[in-house]
Amino acid sequence: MDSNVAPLHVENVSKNFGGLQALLGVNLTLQEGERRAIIGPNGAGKTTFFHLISGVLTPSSGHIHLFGQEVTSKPPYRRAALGLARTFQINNLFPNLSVLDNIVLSVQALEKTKFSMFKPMTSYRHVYLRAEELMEQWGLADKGNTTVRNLSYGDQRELEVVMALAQEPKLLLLDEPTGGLSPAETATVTAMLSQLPRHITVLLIEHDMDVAFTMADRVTVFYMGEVLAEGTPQEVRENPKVQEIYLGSPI
Amino acid sequence: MRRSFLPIILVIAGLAILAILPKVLTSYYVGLLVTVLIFGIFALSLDLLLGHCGLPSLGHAASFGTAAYVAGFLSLKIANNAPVNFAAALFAGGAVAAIFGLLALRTRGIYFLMITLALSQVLWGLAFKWKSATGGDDGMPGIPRPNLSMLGLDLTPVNSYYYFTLALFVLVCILMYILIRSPFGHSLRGIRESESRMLALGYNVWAHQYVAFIIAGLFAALAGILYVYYNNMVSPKDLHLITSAKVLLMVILGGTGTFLGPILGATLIVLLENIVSGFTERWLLILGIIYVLVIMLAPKGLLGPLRGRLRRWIPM
Amino acid sequence: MNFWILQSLNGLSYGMLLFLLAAGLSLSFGLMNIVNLAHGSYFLVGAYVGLTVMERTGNFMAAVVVGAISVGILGLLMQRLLLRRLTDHLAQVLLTIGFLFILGDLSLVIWGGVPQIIPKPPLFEGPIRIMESVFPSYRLLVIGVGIVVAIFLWWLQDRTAMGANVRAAVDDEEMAGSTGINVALLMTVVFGLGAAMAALGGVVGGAFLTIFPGQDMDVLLLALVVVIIGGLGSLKGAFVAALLVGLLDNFGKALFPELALFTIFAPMAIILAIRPTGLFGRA
Repeated sequence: MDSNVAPLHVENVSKNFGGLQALLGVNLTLQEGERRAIIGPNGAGKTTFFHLISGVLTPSSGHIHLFGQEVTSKPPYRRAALGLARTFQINNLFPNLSVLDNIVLSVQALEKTKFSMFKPMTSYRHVYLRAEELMEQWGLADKGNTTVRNLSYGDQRELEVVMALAQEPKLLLLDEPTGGLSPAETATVTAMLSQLPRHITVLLIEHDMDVAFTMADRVTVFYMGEVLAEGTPQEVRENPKVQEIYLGSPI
Repeated sequence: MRRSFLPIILVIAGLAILAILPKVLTSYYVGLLVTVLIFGIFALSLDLLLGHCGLPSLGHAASFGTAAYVAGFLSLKIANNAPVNFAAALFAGGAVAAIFGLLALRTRGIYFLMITLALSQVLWGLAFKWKSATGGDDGMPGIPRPNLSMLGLDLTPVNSYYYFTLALFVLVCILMYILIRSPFGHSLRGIRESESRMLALGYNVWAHQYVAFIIAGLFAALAGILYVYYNNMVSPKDLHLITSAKVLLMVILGGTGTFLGPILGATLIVLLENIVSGFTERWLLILGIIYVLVIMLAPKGLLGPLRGRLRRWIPM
Repeated sequence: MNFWILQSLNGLSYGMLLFLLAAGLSLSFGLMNIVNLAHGSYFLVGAYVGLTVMERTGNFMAAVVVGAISVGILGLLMQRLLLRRLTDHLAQVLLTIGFLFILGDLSLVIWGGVPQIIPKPPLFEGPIRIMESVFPSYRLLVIGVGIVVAIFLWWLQDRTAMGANVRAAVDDEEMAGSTGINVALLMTVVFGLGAAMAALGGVVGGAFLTIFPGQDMDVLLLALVVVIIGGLGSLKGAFVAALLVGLLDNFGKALFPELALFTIFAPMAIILAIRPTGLFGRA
């Protein structure tokens, strides 16, 4: 019963591309409000796993439930409507639109009026107010009119997160939010993420072990398409199999 | 924010000039203006796809030509009931877009280009071969302009037809302007920029594109109807790749997604075609050279470099 | 002779022409990511050049060779000087549409607007008797040429170093470049080969179809349909789809002359609905 209302319940999910087995029999359940990190070497299937949860890809077998609803083969936009938001490993923004318009499109996604053709966008004041509020929070307020293409990499990376948050998600998937950022920028983003309200459940792919172990309540380790270990940061750190994979790198 | 009144003044001045022109021009030039306005509508409809959705249709003549044929066929062979024929032709043009959209929108990029082209050429082939219904290569001549006698409105004189076309042109501009500023229009540009992000945000990307494809088809159909009544005839070339490619050139030449660009492009190409055809039969050759020159010299279009400045006037 | 056998033969020979045409179109996309709408012009210009050579020399082989080589060079130049610089599909499309119009109109100026036909080589003028039936021997020759070219292309792609390089470049241009393959040159050569094959189709076809202004766009449409059905970049797909379209188009014209093109529209629509990337295309 408990797993039926879990924000995310993944049951024995596999994915193969032609002959390549990307994921094999993955199980994962998140509790409401949990912060979970997924770590693992390159090619372990982490991003494929995100694509399956968000609906970019459909699993070869197995089931995915969001908030108790089966979504295994539902399109991404239906999953978003259930309260799922995600960021992308490689910035996936609207490069020729302004920062404000990027966020406005995210906020608008929640609105029933998004199909409206007859009133100007600007007449929906509350959408703009919400977007401006988010820009304020994330220190992008003075960049609202900047075209995203001209934004620094660090700011683009932040916008990646802001756009997901603008969807007011109940479950947030973050794909390496600090990837490619300087230590100072990483610290800022990590601090912002740590302050997210607890009603948002967070699933995070992270390369930076420090970020992963500080932010997460629990950690899942992927290795060659399978779940190798799962537990508290402490348990995972002490797991001999995990140490073997990460031999030589600090964990 | 301080809003500039300049654009409003310019629009009013432009409209005033367009309204006065028939008083000072000969009917030949009034006719040329009618053609400019019709292709302006046609180019705007394509720019909704190309500039706002990022969907490069190479078969936009399908809706234009189908509507022209339906309007012509009904007027000649069934009954010269303009309002009914007008509505039926508009419906037919929209229906073609609805059917082709189902097939073409399953694909992207290069496939989309090729499939829209192939689908519209199939219609051309039908118009060309199905002599009993379409008149084949000769098309259907002698289609009368509407005479709305119950409204006391006879569109047969070229000046009346000009004002009729101008009114519809203004209407299309207003509708298009409202559409591209609406939440729906913003969503289209989001989809143009990144489909996968829009899906992740919760937008039904396909539905947006499909609706836009049909709207663009309807506007193109309107242009086709105005065109057939103006020329009193329709022929297979109105469905041909040459027509689709010509309107695409108009949009690119003017600058995609700039609103004024497609209208400017339509004006230039229509005038040029007219001038060139006056002294040589080699219009297609000249048109081909224009393609090559535009792509090599001004790939972003004439208004492309002004896009940032235009955006202040026409948010997009 | 039996209607069905004769029409099948006509359809097959027409399909072989379409294969000659579509193979280059498909390859130039698969290898170079180039959409070339002037491809139909190569067919038409090749046919006209062949016609002129045939009129001057009376030698069909010379017509074929000169037609294919001159158009091959035209293709090389277009790719090298212009197309290579454009990475944007829409720009390529507009540029090649420009050439479609230019080449079409120049052909009209040079060769006139009257439909013409290339005289067949004397050896293949008459019918040939096999068992109890009589076949038009030239149609059989065309089918033979198509099969020979298909085998040659297959050999080139699967059994030669050049083919291996092409396949490497299709899979990963950067990697092919780093192993010492001159990818840019390879692309130009393949593009020229595609143009030459289209011209070969033009000359060979010019002896049983008429050559007329506007044919460039007619055959372009058929070639596009072949590539859409067969899948971009697949030679096998181009071969299968070309024969299919050739047969359908031929029977369509014979049985429903007024609705001819609809007989190729229907399979295209079905393929698109089921497999948007074509029969042998990569997803």
